Amino acid sequence: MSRLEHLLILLPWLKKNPGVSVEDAARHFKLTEKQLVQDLMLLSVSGIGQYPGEQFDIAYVDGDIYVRDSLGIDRPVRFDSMEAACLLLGLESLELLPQAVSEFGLEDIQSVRDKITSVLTNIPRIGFVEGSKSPDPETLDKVEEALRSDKQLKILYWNNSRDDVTERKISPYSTRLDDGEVVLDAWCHQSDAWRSFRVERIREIEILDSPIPDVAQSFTPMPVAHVVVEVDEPNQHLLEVLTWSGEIERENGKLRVTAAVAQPQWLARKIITSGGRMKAVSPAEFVAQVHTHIKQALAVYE
Amino acid sequence: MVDYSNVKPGNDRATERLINLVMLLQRSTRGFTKDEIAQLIPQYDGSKVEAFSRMFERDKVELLAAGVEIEMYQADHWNQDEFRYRVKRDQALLPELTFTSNEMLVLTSAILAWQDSPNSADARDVRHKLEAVGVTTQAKVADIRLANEVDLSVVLSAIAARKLLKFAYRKPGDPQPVERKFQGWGVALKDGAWYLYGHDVVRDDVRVFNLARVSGDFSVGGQSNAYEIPDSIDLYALLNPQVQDEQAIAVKLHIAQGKGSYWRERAGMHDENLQEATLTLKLTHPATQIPRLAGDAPGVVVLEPLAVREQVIELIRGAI
Repeated sequence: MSRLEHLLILLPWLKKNPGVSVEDAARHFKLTEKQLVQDLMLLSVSGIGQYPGEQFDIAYVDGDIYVRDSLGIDRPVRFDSMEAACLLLGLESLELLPQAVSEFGLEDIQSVRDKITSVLTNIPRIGFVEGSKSPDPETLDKVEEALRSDKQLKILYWNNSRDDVTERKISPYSTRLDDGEVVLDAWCHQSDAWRSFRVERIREIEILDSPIPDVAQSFTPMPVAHVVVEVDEPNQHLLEVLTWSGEIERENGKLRVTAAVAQPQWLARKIITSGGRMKAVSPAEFVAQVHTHIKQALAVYE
Repeated sequence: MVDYSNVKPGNDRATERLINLVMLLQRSTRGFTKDEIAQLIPQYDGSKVEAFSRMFERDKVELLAAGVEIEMYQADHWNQDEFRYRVKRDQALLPELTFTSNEMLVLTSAILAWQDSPNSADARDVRHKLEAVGVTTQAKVADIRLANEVDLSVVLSAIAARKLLKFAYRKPGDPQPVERKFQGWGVALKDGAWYLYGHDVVRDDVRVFNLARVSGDFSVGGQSNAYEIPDSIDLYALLNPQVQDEQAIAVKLHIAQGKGSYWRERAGMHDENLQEATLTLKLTHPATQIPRLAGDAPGVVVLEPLAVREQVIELIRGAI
């Protein structure tokens, strides 16, 4: 963002918050106090003449800021296309998550969307498109109902990484939306641990009459191993299936990331799918487990 | 867009001049002539006519990028050479907005979805703008996450202005990314991945690009309104391409008990107990389905045809 854009937000914000301290204003805009003061100084010397009404009238009283005359710039400029996209796609996401719909009410989400749309100069061309992984609406409704009534669920769940279907009793904790995919965090009574389920992979679902036990009150994500994974540069797209933080390390045409992996079997599957163009490098123990799974896969063909 | 913390003092004279220009041009609905502007804005003062003209043209572009459009019009019917410049305040500035407290929670949850995204700074600008018109933002309530890997602001503003986009795109397996010239139609989010769709100028055809495979930055070039976006686009069909039937390959699979749900569904089997089975079906997307068959071993084994079986074995051998 240019400094101009920044000042065009700062000025009306200060006007709307008379008497705000330099400290609070700086914190609000994630600036140092010195930077904020530099902004105020710049605004103070701006203006087109010598007389009142021709210059910004900004006063500091005991470290508090008062904008007495912002020369007509008393509101920020309209949303640009990215800012509009942030709002509209965020609102569209809320509508995809039944838990959010029941929390806020669909009418309120839509009325916010209408109000925002009414002040846009053009509508950004961005949105969700249905694909093969869109969850079944009836399943979503049942998940939401169980969450609302604090009831356990019995689900038939297809675990994609192990390729098996298991019946589980779970105590739902919360749903969230990850780039449009609905994830249910729940206490799994079969594994006596917290698990995250993709709602799209729930094959059957039934609401049970049992209440949520005390153990299922505060969610902690499943532990993961940190595995170094390597690909050649032309195969960078293979990394898309992994979750990692930080930068990709590049060396001699090789790319390396440290990926968070829950199960060796899952990584073995991805490595086979890539025909070995993706490799697990370390830690050794995890790599050995991955290889055991790959050998089992080969054994059925030999 | 960068962080506020990266705001540099920069060329203060330029920012001062731009602020003054905004302030001046929104003061009167009649606007000002170029001569008047040159005289009234102290930072233009002393520039030669030609230098002033260049500076003024650049400043117009800068202001437009900040969302402030300078309108040029002919005020005097009899004087064809005199143009006046003005900023229509109500068009440029955000109107007052009022929201209920529940609606403010909705807004906050929508904005905070972008926290982990390259566009988190844009989301923060939205928050600041809303606060400057009197909206109080709150804590996040719904857990929504939008985590695009690519900064979308350049793409969306190019599409809004109908300007040509240039970027390097790496198709899976290509040794080098290839430069694309593209008329963007829009951005879509499907099955957790972000796509850019539109018209590829060089290939003269409709294309869909996975934004995660764009390497480096986007650049925007040429004139505004350089193309038109078709009125009716079947987005579902565009993003869910169907394979022609002649490309489909018939396969025979052996599936162990409890395994191969993906294949059972595609073969139209509804055996709830997921018994051990041998089934035949057509691979409609061989390029992704053959690797998937390899990944599903040992639970799923390809019996026929031999060609597919060999491809699967090669993939697994490669992994060892």
